[in-house]
Amino acid sequence: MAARTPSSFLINRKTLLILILPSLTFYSIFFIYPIIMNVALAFTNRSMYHFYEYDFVGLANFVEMLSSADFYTVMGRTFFWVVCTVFLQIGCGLFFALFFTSPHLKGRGIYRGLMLLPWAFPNVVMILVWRGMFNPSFGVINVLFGTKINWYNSPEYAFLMTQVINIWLAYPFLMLLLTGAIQSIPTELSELAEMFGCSSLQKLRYITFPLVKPILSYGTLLTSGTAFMQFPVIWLLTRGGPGNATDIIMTWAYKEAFYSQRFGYHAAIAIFASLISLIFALFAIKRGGVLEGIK
Amino acid sequence: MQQYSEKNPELLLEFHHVDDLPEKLKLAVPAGVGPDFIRWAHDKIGEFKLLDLIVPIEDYISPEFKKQIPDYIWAAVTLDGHIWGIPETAESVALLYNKDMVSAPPATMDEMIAIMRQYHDPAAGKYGLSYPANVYSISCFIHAFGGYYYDDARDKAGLNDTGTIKGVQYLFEKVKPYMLDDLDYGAQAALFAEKKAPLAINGPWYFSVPTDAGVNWGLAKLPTISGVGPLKPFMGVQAFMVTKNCKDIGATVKFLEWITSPPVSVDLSVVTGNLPVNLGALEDSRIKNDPIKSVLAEQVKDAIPMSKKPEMGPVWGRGYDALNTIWAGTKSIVDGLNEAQKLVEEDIRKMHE
Repeated sequence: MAARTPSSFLINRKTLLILILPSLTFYSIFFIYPIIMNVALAFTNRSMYHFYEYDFVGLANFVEMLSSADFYTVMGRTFFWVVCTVFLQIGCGLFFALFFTSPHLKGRGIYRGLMLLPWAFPNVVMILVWRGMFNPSFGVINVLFGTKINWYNSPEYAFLMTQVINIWLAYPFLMLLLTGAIQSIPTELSELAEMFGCSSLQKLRYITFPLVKPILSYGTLLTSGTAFMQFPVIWLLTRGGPGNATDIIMTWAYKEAFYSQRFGYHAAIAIFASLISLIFALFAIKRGGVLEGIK
Repeated sequence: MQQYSEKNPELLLEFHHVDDLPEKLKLAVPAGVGPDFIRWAHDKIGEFKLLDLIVPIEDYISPEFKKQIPDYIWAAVTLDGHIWGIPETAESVALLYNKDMVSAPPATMDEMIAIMRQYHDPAAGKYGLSYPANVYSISCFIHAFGGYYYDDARDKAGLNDTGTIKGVQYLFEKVKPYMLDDLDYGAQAALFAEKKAPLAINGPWYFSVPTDAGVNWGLAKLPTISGVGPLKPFMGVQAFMVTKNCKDIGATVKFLEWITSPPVSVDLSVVTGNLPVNLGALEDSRIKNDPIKSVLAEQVKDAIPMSKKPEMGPVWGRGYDALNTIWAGTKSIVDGLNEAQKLVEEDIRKMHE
């Protein structure tokens, strides 16, 4: 007799289907349906001037995107932005996770709670607060460091500013994820290692890292996806400026398509960006063993 | 409202505040639901017309009412030879001056520059002018030199028009040196409210800020550039527009004429603080003797209505980006505006494809 899994032991398939039906319905209406509509839109010329009656234009929108010189500049910058974001966010998340799981630190629960605060506030509000802090004339950042930098007028500083804020917004999630992973490592392993005379660094290298690696790759996957499709951080801080020095794919798409209200074209760029993101994800799953972390 | 309902019991009047009205209208009106009329800024008329959401109403407007609204206001709601709305209120930027710092407001730019120079001292945190410079608010300089952003009549963008370039150059040469080097609205607006600047260029949405901060301020018309002409700001007109769903356009327009005429429009103005556009309302002592509204009424006479066409969308966006780039110093005025014009023309071309 085949072994029974717990679910089939308690309920049959039909009951299972009925139970997931409500969430499946909502998921379909609010998630799957818009995606399908968006894909369909990408192959049309729907715009302000073709709002009710629009035509199927095949791959014209994609061709237009790929034949724009700016597209390649922006894609290059977007990759750079993603790489910076992933390294720095994971780095910060891992650092704080290690720090706050250290058995020598007293009151770490409280610190950890405080460190999670950026996550508790709505992103848009926090971005606007940061914008005030980076304000060249009365912002606290210049006062704090005794600098007179106009963060919005220089391409390099503007990029740095958006990175700092982007990291600040996202590190709590990674910290939480990695804290869970680190805490699930059996203490016996660490004690054993100590008995064999391992240093802290060796413990980190040979015990902690290999055991949190699946979670780490899972975090990388999520972070790169959101970084690639990032919009509010750039838009609310610099609007891609000065010039287009901080434009990444989504802000560029907005300018290209929404200043002139061309919905079909925007859908095409968005779908292209999603596909790139998906390729990232597939690569990470195949090479990085990401799914081990979710299992 | 109640008054009108009592006199016209056959009409059922209901008013709703709807967030994000234009977007909701696009869904509701084609589906045959939604309001009989709406109140919105005139610059959306082109989009509403294009999407077939509103109807022209010139045939329903009574000749007496037609005469009660000045032509420069009718111009704001007229597109392609048709009237698309009943104008209710108008607004534009004007010059605010701190009465404790400036005895009389400057009538010319030369006088204004002298005042700005006198107070400008960035080291002490003081500036000559509080001016949240953006595409909308700097239009007064562009229009003064005969420049324009988008000409509805000629269907042409004018970001690199000679007048536009001259206007921006004038702003950067003569005015920017007395400003805080920061385009942030809040940073600029705070200067006048905190008495760190004797003058401000701002609009009615801002007036309560210096008042609440205890600034003893007055309003004046924007100055004149000697040998060039007066600064002409953009004007926005709030208008009632009749939707395609309206079952009785005649009765609706009749009601809209009533609500935008005195004494109702004056009563409304007292509550909302907005400037009515009906000539009768402007003659009412409650408006004529109001030190703010009377000046604003003069200022809008010199104003240019914002473009009503969807083609203005790319101009707002590309213009914003260009202004920030020029302000940051990464591009010259001429290069920045030429480039923006090219992008706008491209955007508009693709818009029509």
